[in-house]
Amino acid sequence: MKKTDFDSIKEKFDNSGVNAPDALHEDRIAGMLPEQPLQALPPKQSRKKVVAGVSAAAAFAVVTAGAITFTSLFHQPFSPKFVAGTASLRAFGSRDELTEEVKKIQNIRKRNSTDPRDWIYGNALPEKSAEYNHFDAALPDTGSSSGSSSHNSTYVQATGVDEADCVKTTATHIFYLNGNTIHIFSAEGKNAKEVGTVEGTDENSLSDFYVSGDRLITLGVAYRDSGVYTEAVVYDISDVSAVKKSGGFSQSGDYLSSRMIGDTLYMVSNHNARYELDLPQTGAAVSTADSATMDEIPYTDVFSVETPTGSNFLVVSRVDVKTDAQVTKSKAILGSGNIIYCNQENLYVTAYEFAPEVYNNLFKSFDGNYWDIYGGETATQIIKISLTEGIDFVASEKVDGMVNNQYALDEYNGKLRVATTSRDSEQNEINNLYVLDENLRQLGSVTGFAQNESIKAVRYINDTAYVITYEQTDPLFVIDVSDPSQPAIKGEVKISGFSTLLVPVDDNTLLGIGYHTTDITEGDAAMEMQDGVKIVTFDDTSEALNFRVENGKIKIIDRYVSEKFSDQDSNLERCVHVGDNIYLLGTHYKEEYRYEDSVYNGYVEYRADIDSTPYK
Amino acid sequence: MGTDMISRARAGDKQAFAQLYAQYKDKLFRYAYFKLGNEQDAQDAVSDCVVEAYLGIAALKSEKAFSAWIFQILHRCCCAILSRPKDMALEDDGSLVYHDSHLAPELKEALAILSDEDRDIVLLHVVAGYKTREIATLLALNHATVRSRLSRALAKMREFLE
Repeated sequence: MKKTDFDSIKEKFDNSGVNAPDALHEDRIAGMLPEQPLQALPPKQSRKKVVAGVSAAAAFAVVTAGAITFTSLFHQPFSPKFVAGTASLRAFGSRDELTEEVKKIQNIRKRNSTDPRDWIYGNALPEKSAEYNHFDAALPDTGSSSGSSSHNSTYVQATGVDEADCVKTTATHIFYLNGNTIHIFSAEGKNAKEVGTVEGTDENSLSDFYVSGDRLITLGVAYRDSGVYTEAVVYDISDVSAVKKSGGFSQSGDYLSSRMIGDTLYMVSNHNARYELDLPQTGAAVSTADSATMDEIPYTDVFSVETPTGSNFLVVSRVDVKTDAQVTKSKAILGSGNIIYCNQENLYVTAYEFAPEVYNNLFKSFDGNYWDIYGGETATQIIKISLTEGIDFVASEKVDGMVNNQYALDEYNGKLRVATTSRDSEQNEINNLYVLDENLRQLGSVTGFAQNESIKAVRYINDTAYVITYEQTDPLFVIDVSDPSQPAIKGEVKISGFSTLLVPVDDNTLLGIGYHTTDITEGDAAMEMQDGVKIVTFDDTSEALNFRVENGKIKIIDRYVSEKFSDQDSNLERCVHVGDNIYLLGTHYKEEYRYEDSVYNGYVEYRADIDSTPYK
Repeated sequence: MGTDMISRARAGDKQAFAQLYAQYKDKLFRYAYFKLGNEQDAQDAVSDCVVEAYLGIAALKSEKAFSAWIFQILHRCCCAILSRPKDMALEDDGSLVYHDSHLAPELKEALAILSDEDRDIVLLHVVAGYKTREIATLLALNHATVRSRLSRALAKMREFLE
């Protein structure tokens, strides 16, 4: 009988005899549950007074008082020193102070068995989840494509700042990360073929990568006995058929995100300290050195946010690729992050945190009753890091609610615009837009719009923010931010059907990724877009659609269906353009059964593949 | 059924919630047991999970999402238990008490040969029933990576067991 590995293993689990014991019977469970699930929150605290329109001195005073309140509950003396220019980042006077702080947080966490930050708002998707980030507003954009007009693959948010991706292009080659291997294809239209590879290893699981001149830089995660590390490995790709490793760098923590500005790589990871001496470290990548010796980041380069709710460190490193990762600098902040936004001058990292009074409750509830904290709101902590002269932590501040993804943040004329989703006193979801100054103090805001809709995407174009929320009809809110102290909602527009990303290919052609082409039919007056714009797109049913908008209506010009990817066992994943061709990249899966030593075994193999079609 | 149960649970109907839970209790316990290695921890994890799930049920929109949602909470509860320092209890004669367990030893050994993350991927897919695309999101990995690691891990386990 043919049985796949999956069937065989699943059967073993199902027949393992491991079942819920009596103590977990549903009748006993009902008795364990607290009185009510979370519903109405207490009236909204007017915490905003702390952040909005307060002078620097007053803000400093308020925070100092808060710091003393919770440190006095413990016997460790810790006089927080404030980093110049900001009221709420703390420096450490010695390594002992740092380890004591970590220990203190862990004692709290032990009593509260899980990190409730995560689930108050349900799932917060990490930034790396590519499928979710690349399907955003169907709008013209402030960002641009990385690469020249002759080729592109990665949509980047800020000009001059490259983002890592699973697919990259040059004028002559396409690089495609599939599984744990980067396949290098020649961009020769229908004759495109694989000409080289870069392999991850069992130790280094590849997440994404950059191509910069004759260097390819992979970012990946390595699991060693001492913990989880994020590794950057630099390869020389001047000869793609014989790629050579030329250097590497690693830092503690799970890979959060990265950016490249020119020849400088900035990598960000989240390191969870399992015990107080488990401080973040950096060193040579394990793939390029036999025994990598790691060094702790000096305590003088480690800071802390005002209310760290976990012993997580955000580790930021600057790696010089020109020297093959020989020159590096790292710093860390206690208080983790999950979303980053980066432009050429500044890196902003956000993390969601509890409101201070909620945080103080955590410390006060010695009975370990973590239900107390659910009366509070979540806030997003924003940390501003200046990149102009190295890595300098400049400011840190909180806004209400949660940030959806990197596109919710944008810096323009030195002001940071942030869109968040939070809950009102009746637990309805509401949305907010804040404008913050160079020190992240609030200049103005619009709060409470689009009740019960989550923000899906935000695009900032100079003085206007376009906010798309999740609904069948994808309503779009247009917010005028030309006066930072008074952002104003200008209007609401309905756009139907699209949840996608538009990438400019040339002046009047846009490459669309992720369109549901079945929703596009001739004659649809679906969008408010410029007439004459030609759009080439594909979706994961392996079809590329070439259509034009005329008089507000869609006119289909051309369709291309990829034979290679149209069978059941194939999965079309990405689409890029190089020269006059669109290249489609994906995977073929093959299940095979073979007899080996008279045992019938099932194997699943997969193979990366490429198809192309001219688009001009 | 479906959304009715969810809205009843949201309104505080513990029985409705318990009935939803009943459909998944074996899988939940199985997942926690193989992830944590012993019955006591697994029981703690499932109890923590159930309480949190009930408290946070306002976040759940439909019954279709219940399975994925509750396993995500369970996964986090398990991770939290794993990151606690182990309590070393002592017997009367001064030797350590090991909270160990002898359920399904072969399967446990087969899982032990995998890396932590590969083990997670196998448990999430085979026991908790997540699709590989969902696992990619949950663990913040590339989708293709999850598929290939899953297939290699299952093959390794099968070879070990047969």
